[in-house]
Amino acid sequence: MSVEQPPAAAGRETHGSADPPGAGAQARVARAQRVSPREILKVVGPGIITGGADNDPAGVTTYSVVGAQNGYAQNWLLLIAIPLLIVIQQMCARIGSVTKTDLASAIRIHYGRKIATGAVLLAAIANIATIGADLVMMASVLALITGAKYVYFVVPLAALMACVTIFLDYRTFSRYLLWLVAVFAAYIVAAVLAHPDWPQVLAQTVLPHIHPNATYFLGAVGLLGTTITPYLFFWQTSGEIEERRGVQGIRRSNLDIAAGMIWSNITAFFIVVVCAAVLYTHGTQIKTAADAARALEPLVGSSAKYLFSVGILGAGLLAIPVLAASTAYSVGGLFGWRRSLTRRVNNAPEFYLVLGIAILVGVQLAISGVDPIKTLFYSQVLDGLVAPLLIVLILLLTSSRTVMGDFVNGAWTRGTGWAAVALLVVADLALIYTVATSGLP
Amino acid sequence: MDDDAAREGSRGAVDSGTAGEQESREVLRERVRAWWTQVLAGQVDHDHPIQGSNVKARLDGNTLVISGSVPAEADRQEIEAEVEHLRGNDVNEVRDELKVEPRGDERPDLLVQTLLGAFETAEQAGFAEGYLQGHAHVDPRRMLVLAAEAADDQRAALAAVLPEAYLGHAERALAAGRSLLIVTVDETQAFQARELLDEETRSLETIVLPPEPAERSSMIRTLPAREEPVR
Repeated sequence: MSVEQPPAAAGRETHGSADPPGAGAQARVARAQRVSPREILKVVGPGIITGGADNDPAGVTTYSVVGAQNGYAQNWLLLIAIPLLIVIQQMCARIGSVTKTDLASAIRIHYGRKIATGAVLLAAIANIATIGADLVMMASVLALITGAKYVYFVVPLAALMACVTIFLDYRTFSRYLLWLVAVFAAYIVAAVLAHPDWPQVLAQTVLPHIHPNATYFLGAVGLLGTTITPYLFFWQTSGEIEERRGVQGIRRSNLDIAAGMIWSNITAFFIVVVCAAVLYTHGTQIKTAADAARALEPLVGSSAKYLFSVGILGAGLLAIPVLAASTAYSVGGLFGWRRSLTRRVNNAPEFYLVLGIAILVGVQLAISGVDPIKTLFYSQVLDGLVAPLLIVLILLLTSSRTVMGDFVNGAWTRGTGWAAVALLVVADLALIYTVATSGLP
Repeated sequence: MDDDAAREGSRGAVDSGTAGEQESREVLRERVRAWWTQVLAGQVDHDHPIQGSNVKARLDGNTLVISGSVPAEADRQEIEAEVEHLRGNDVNEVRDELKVEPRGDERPDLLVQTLLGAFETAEQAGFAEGYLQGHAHVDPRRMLVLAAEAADDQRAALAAVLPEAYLGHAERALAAGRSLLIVTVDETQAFQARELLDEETRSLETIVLPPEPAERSSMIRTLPAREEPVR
């Protein structure tokens, strides 16, 4: 089996490139993977579409509530969140490309089972709360259209999504759903038609405005939580594994992520702007799905509820399988189970069991008689509280040369990652302090 | 820890691994045969043992229809060879709709990556070694099997082939009575190698070290190159 060959004869292991001996792994890959302008367009297109899908029903509702409650005052947070979100998602993708394993598994291997269990538990709680909230919102828009009670739609919707996730090829299915979510681009046109005070919008976007009260900090944590959201961390890493995108795909992956996240935040920005212009200026609060849909009235008048409903249903159909699968990936990674959406049920039974349980618990939350808008909003506040803990672990992993080798974080990435942690922690502490001293608004 | 000990350790493992390697190649062939039998019975629940979910097959009357894609013409020929023995039983005709589509645009030979798999027994580690060696889509550059009961000098080989940060993982596994397979592959094959270790050979735990240029790899610098496998 082996030949008697001295180590020096490992010449066949030399590289096809003209790389000098000792050139770093990252430099070698960078030279081999230059991306041409045409390739950039090919990569950026799908990224933009996928980025649109990052705004799930809970996200759209949270941005709407933030705009209706605080006007343009938190626009600056969305602007700041763009580089933070891009850097965090790129770190997650890099963990998958380098370690060839998902986030939960990487945490378990390098930081032990206890820490991994804590991380997975926190993410699972946040994910399941968001599943429940998304189900509530999807059912609410169906109720808005049909006039029936929302609770009648929760179980059929959950069953539909469980079937889609378990029995269909979700990644193929999602390509069609993305077109439904494209209706959220309508917020951009609606914002123009709503005639907001653009100088004020600009001023509040580039200059931080802080109002030290619980309403403001709840909005800030919810907005940051729905933008820098934990389920995307696990989903991004697992996506690299499913796509088998190794280190040579990092540059394309980075472009894809940047395009998607920028588009996602642009959409979010216009949702806030239009809700501020239409609802906040008239002192209208969002208490129901119908209130949230009203923001689109400048564009389509009384048909706003239909346009809003199509977007919410598409976003929910896209997001709930991702949330449930993200939970199943993280639990599967913790226990070392077979896990993949491309597998059949009998080939990865534990993975699909967790996925099913996540949806079931979400259903339980959705039908427990909670206030839909509050559920959506507070699930995103929970995301905002959980996110910094997970980002710290992601930063530690990607800053470790032992784990990442030459693909370790650079100074800019590390600094931006820690800035994200600092921003979230400050917002969380400010929220806890204001709620402790003056109660929930 | 010197290189001689590492090479000696590797050779010792190789000797004990030969039987395991032959056995695992036979198991791989058997799994492929069993898969085609399941196709004929219309009961395919698993992916093709080598090509994975990229290759689909179904029986349409007495015609066996094979569809999907393979990365190279050699893979298509191998699939055709696999179904040759099925002709004449329930199969009158084979309709080959396979497309040859090279996977991705990744360049091989840029970097290597080392995987550390822990197994219940030395036989299982040897089996995994043979399985990787016999698999069409993985071409291991270096492999080292280390049994839990290996002699001290063979254990010492670990320090020569693994970076210090990963020695602890390996030593803990050995102390727990597990045997190790350490394998270095081209980075572009590392996903596949990991999947094979985790799922086909039931590694209890697989750790993947970061990618590195081959000339910096302790495995490649320390261990002798392997013979090209006979497929």
